[in-house]
Formats: sequence, C-alpha cells, structure tokens
Amino acid sequence: MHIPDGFLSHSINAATFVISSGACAYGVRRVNRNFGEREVPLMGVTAAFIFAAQMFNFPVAGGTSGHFLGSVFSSVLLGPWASLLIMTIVLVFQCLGFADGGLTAIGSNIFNMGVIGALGGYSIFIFLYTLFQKSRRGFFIALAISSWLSIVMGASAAAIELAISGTSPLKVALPAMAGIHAIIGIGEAIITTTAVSLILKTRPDLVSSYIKRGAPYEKTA
Amino acid sequence: MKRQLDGFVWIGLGIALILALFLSPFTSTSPDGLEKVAETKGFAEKGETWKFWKHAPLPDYNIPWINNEKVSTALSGLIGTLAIFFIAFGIGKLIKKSPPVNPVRNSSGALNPVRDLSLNGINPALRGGTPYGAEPGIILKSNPCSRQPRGPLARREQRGIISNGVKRILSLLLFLLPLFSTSVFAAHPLITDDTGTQGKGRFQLEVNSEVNYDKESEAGVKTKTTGGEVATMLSYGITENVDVVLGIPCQWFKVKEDGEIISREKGLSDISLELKWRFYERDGWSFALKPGATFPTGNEKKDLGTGRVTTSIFFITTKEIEPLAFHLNLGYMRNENKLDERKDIWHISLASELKLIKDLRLVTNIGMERNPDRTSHKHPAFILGGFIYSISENLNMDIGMKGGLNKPETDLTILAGIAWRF
Repeated sequence: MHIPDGFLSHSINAATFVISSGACAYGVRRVNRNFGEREVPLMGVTAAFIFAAQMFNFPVAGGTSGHFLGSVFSSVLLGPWASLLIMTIVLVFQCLGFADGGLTAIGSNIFNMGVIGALGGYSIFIFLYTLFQKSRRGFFIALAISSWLSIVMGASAAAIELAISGTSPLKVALPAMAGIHAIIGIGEAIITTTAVSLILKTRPDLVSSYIKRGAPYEKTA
Repeated sequence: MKRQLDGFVWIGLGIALILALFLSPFTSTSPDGLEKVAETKGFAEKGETWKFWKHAPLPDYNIPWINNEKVSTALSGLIGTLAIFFIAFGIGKLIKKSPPVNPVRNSSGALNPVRDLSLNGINPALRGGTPYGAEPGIILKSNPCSRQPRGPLARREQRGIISNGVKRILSLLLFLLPLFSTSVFAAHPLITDDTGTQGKGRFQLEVNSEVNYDKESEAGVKTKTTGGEVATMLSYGITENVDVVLGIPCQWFKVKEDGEIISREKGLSDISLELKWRFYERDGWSFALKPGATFPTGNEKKDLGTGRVTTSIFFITTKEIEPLAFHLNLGYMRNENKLDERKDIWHISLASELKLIKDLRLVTNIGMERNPDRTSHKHPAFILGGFIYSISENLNMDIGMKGGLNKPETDLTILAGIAWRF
C-alpha cells in the first residue's frame, strides 16, 4: 500500500502532509502526556516488529502479494496516538532508507496507514469491543474486524487520493484497491489476532487496551 | 517490573530480528496490492518515471554490493530492524512524559511551560521573503525580497528535562540524515516572517537550503524544472528591537522540455539587505516594519537576478497565545527588473506555530502574492508544513515541505535549514 512518487498530485501530497503533520503533532502531545518509562522500550520493539513483519510479503490470489501493516496491532498495545507515531517512524524510515514509498507521497502514506489505519482502525476496535461488552471473545472479534477494516479503509483512502490526483478514476481504482485489500486484510486479521493473543498469554500487562474483568484499568497514550 | 520489561524488550527484539533474518528472504516477489492495481489499471508507469528521493542506502531492501538476493534481503532486514528499534526508542524517549521540574499545571492538566521572556523567542529559524512561483518563461529567479533570518535572544525554558545523552543521539541522527543525500537537510521552513529580533549586539548566522520541483504542461510541451537554493543569512541586532539582515543566496536550476535540458544555470543570486524594526509589543501582540532592498549581483541573463535594485516593505504582526503563535505578513515589493515583469507585487501570508514539546515546534504556513508574470492573472499560492527543532538554546534546525496550491506556484519544495546565534 506504500504509494510511490509520481502517483499523486502535489496538492494531494501537500494537503495530506499538512493533515498528517497535524495529527502527528497532536499525537506527540498526547504521548508526551501519557508515556512513561515502560512504554518507551515497548515503542522501539513494536516499531522493530512491524518493520520486520512488513518485509515479508505473503502471496494472495491472482499473482498478488500483501504484507502485514500493524497499525491496529500497535494501537492495541500502546494506544492509537503512539501507534500513529510508530507508523510514521516506520514509513519515514522505509521511504528514506529502503525507497519503499515515495518521499513526496509520505504525507499520504502516513494518512492512509497512520491516520486511517491506526486512529481509524483503533476507533472501530474500541467501538466493537465496547459493543461486545469488553468480553474476552469480543476483544478478539473486535481485533480481527478492525484490523481487516484498517487495511480496506487505508486502501480505499489511497484509491480516493489516486482519483483526486487524476491518476485513475474512482470507479476503477476504488473497487480494485478495496477488493484486493479485502483479501490482504484477512492476513492482517490473522497475524494481528495471533500476535496479540500470544502477548496476552505471556505478558497481558503489555496490552493496554485489554481490560481484565475486575482489574484496574490503566490508561496509556 | 523494570527487569521484567527488559526481558520482554529483548525477547520482542529477538523475534523481530529472527523474522527479518529468516522470513524476509522468502518474501513473495509478486506485486503487492497497490502495484497490482497500478499494473492492471494502467498507471504503473507513473511511478517509474520519477523518483524524488534517490539516495536510499538499501533500495528495495537490498544491499547493493551483495549479489545473493536472499542474503542481501536478510541482512538489510537485520540492519533495518536494529536501526528502527533504536530510532523509535530514541524518539519515544524524547517525547515521553517529562518528570515535573516546575509542575505548573493548567486546567487541562497539560504542563504549563514558563513563558519565554519576550516575543523574541518565537521563531528563530523563521525566514521572511516571498514564495516565488516558477512562471513559464522566467523560471526561478531570485526573490525581489529575500529571506531573512530572525531570531531571538530569547531564553528558552530551562532545559535538562531530556537527558543529554538522548539529545546527543538525536542530534547525531538529525545530522546523519543529510549524509544520505546530496542536498542538506537542516532548518527554516516558514515563508512568513515574525517580529522577533536578535537583541543588541547579537548575531545570527543561518544557512537555508531548498530543493524544488515544478512541472508545467502547455500546448503539449511538458516543462520540468528542478532547482535549489542555498542562502546564507547574517543578522545583527543594532538595538534591542532593530535588526539589520544581509542575505547571500546561491541558486541552481535545470529546465527540461520534453525530457531535453534547455537551460541549466547556477550561481550567485541577488544579495539582499534589510532592516527590521519591532515598534510595538504588548499583551502577546507585536508589530514590526521591515524595509529592504535587493541588489543586482545575480546575472539576470541567466535568470539568477532581476538586473535592477528592487525595494520592498513588509508589515509584520505576531500574536502569541501559549503554546501557539501566529504571524501575519502584508508586503509590497517594487520589483524593478529588466525582464518585463510586473513591478508592483503584493504579498500576504499567515503562519502558525505550535509548541509540541520542549524544543520541537510544528509550523504551518499559507500565503499568496501577485504573479510577476504579466501574461498571467493567476497568483501563486502555497501551503507549507514543517518542524523546527532546537538542538540547544542557540542552535536550531528545521525542515518543511511546501506545496503549490495553483499552477503558477512551484509544485513542490523541500526546505531545510540551520540557524546559529552568537
């Protein structure tokens, strides 16, 4: 989903850059308020894990591949704002270090995978988790649906940006992008639920969004 | 607790490294979702014709001098995973909750920082000047009203919250970043000036750089312009609220029509001299006047200057509401030139600054000015976003991205600069 240079118009690039910078700015303030000694190394590990996992493309239908995104995964561990910052760090690093995603499209990539993927994905997660009355099963259902949606929504946002830029008409780009990412999203949902359930088994205290019944809820960024 | 977490950190990092080392070589080589859509819907070539950033050390997760693809991917994954662990760790450490030094908390619970002593502190790395669009024909000439450095004698809030070690690591990272590229990444992103001055007897030296890119299509001819500028600016405080500013800009640009280079120049542009006088300040409001002139030191035949002395006057308003600051510029330039351009140029722009955390500010800027090209009635307008980071009280770096909101404005500019006060 990393958009390269040349796909998007510069007005879209500038607009998404301003929105993403604003979101990151607010994110820095939020994280600054809520981050403690514990969360800092966890942020490093999460970013490292997401980067490593994103390197592996799994094949999906029709000669296409997809990879893990990790925006809902990191939101569930550290909260949506920290997740937005982690996604931003990963995307900037991939762009500058590995030519993955264009530098001019960095604002759009952060918007699609951070603002939509992390903030949007987490909002859906919290909505569903609350809907399922914060049960353990509800946690994983919410996790699977929201991580799947984070991919589909991010891809749809990319399609809309492509359409506004005049690269590909919306009625062509949107079904194509949403369709293929609906399949890639299944991989995202499987990896996210597996990884979170493993962490929950071994170190439940690291999953800030999971509320153990009767346990005090400690809010993080 | 601390030890337990440390354990998890090593286990987590170990898992990530194992993934990168042993799983990444077996990544599918099929195109990913977006690439596939681009191929089937016929816009893949758009992404191949142009790349803005060409200096990635490990392009496409490969180490260029290792031939075995699997080894190359595995090693680049290992390096990348380790590097991003430290980068994310460092950034996390930088922005994490500061232990209360002087815990003055406001109603919303946020730390209420001790106010800067005066307005002077607002924006050391701001620069004034004009957003000049690359108009067809007269592409990239020097600004009639050049950029100025400004700056503060202002004392920032007392430091020491972030440990020196982390600060050193971060400034090292910020300094290493430019090494990957030929252009220098450093600091000064705003176009709009503020009312801050250096203070009596104080100097500020700024080196500001930009790289810009513009694409126009007229009558079937595609014109691409890439250019850059490195401007050195020296400010001196004559009195507490009057500065004199000397600006020495050097430019380069390359114009391509349908892929063929039709013009390529580099050299000194028009030198500028300005005076900034802050004549009023009270209750967070301050006003300044800035008369200035540029001198025809740049070769106008090479589009590096206007060929005549130009004059300008700017009226600057700044309003500070902690942690925000706003700057409004209204300017008039007498654009004397040998290029048959409009002579009366007006300028309006608005900028905002938000202090995110100690030492880091988010800046945004929007503005417009009259198009000097007589044949056009569309006036270049821009939007800009960026960050200013204070490495120490007297040393700032900044970085920004500017996009053109309409055709006459340069499509894309990446700005970076560094400012040192002494």
